[in-house]
Amino acid sequence: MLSIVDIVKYVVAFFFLYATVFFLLLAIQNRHALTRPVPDTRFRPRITVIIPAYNEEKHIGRCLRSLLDVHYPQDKLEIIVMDDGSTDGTYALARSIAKKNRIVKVYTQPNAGKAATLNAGIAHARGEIIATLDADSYVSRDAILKMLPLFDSEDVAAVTAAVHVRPKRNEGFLRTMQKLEYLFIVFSRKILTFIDAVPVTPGPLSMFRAWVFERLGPFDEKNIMEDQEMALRIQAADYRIRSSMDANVYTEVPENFGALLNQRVRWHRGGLRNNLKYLRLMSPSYGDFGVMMMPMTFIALFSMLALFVITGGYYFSTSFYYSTSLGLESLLLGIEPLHIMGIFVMLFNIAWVLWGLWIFKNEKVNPFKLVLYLFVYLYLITLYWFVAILRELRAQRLSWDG
Amino acid sequence: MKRTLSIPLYFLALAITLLVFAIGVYIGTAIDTANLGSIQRNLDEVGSGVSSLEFLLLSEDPQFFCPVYLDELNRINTDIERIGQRLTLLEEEKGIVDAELKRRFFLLEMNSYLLSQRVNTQCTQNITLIMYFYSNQACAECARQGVELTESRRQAGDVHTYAFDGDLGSPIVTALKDKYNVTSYPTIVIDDRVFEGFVDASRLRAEIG
Repeated sequence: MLSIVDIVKYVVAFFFLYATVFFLLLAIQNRHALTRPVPDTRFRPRITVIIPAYNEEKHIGRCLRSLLDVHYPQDKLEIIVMDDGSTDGTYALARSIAKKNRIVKVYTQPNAGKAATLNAGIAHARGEIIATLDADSYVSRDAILKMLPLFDSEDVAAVTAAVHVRPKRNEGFLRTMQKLEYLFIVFSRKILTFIDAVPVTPGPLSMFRAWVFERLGPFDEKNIMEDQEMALRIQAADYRIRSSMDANVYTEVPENFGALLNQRVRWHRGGLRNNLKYLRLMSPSYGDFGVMMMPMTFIALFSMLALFVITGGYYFSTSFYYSTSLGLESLLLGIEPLHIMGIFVMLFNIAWVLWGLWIFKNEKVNPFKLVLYLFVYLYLITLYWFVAILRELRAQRLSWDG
Repeated sequence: MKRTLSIPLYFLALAITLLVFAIGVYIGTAIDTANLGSIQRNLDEVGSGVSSLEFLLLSEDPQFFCPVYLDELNRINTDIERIGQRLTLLEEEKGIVDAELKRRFFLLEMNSYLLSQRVNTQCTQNITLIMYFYSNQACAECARQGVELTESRRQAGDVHTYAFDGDLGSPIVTALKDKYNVTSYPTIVIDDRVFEGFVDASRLRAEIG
């Protein structure tokens, strides 16, 4: 006889398995498009790149240099550094670079937050395409040329870049894990393009048609996840967001667990609030985005917990007591249909990850670290959600510290 | 843009998910059937071991065979404990109760208990014999008592534990409950001394000696 807890476990497992299968099928259906190079459309609009910067003295130089080196006609490129009241040498450094390069413009304002800084930059922008680039990131030389062809129809409002972790010598555990994570996010985001379901225009580098801000309004200045809010606003207005897998931008990531936890809790809390704000999009009238992507955000609340419950943790903990006398046999005795579903979810996840790695053939991945990623790092999302929900329930103020 | 729904993908994903679920049910059921069959075979093997030992005890010079009795008895008790654990795991984790298997298991436990008593007498041994009556339905303390008993037995050494499910209505268990006047759970009988209610580890150790 199934208890209510059993029924909940089976329902969560069923939906999780269903979503995993759906996205794998979607990837299979579009397998050729994944590897096919995007032809250049010769679309060369005037582009304004806005770099919001707050105390980025260490990174702003590298960021600007990468933009100045980018393959794009200089007369069609405008770079705006929008200093958000930095207390370090960010403004002075950007000004000194601007003196030598007339396409770079630097403005400053009293500290007002990232969204407000972006909006202030947009007010100065003259480009037909507006790109937002985080000051702690830098672009590959062909990034712009790789992104522009994806504006292949008038209803494409935004194009996102392939965000990677900045390469570094002697990468530690957390950095390697995030590097893998970012790879799979790029891969997954590309798959989402096929059903017009990209849910975020990431801060490290995204491009927007300038009319987006005229028609849909500026970035939400009260929103800590303004890049996700803008993407949801674009989806709500039925415009398309495309994702590139080879327009690379490299960004800084948290180096220690405390910083990572704060970043992820901030993402999850901001994401949860944004998804609740746009709950109306969870409807068949928004196509696959409304039926598959929006619910996924809420299923993700339980996803890793479910995976943990279905497979490893639950399985081994219930078998642990018996294993002292029954040994490995206890693992076999305890197998239920739920576990088989969990094993399949795990196998499909592994297939997904291996496919992602095959796509990024150039990335050398240590198999041991991949195992750690799959069986240790991924489960951290459960902790992020737990802390995020706890802080939401305690109505703790949402800030950049999570 | 005009929004669309990838209907064929939704149905294909549903079909595959249902197929995986069906595979899960099939494998789960096949494993349960194989497990129950294996427990049955183990019961038969241990049962024949008990019978052989009973015959040996009827020999003219039983004391001569004491080392053999002790060795065999230990093996039988280890096997019985293992079968008990397997039955409990199936019952607690998966809700599978095979009344016939459990009836045979309790009978085997009783046989082993009586054998141990005889070996204690004939071979002047001091093996502590514990009977543990539990209920899976109306006993909040039984799970904890089971853990304490297992731990105490492991620490003490020469102790044999026999657990009986009081709810099952098995004739042998009913007879034992009547003999020791067991009316509530958990109840523990240590060498014919009856303890009603939860007995903690320190008291168990003291009683086992």
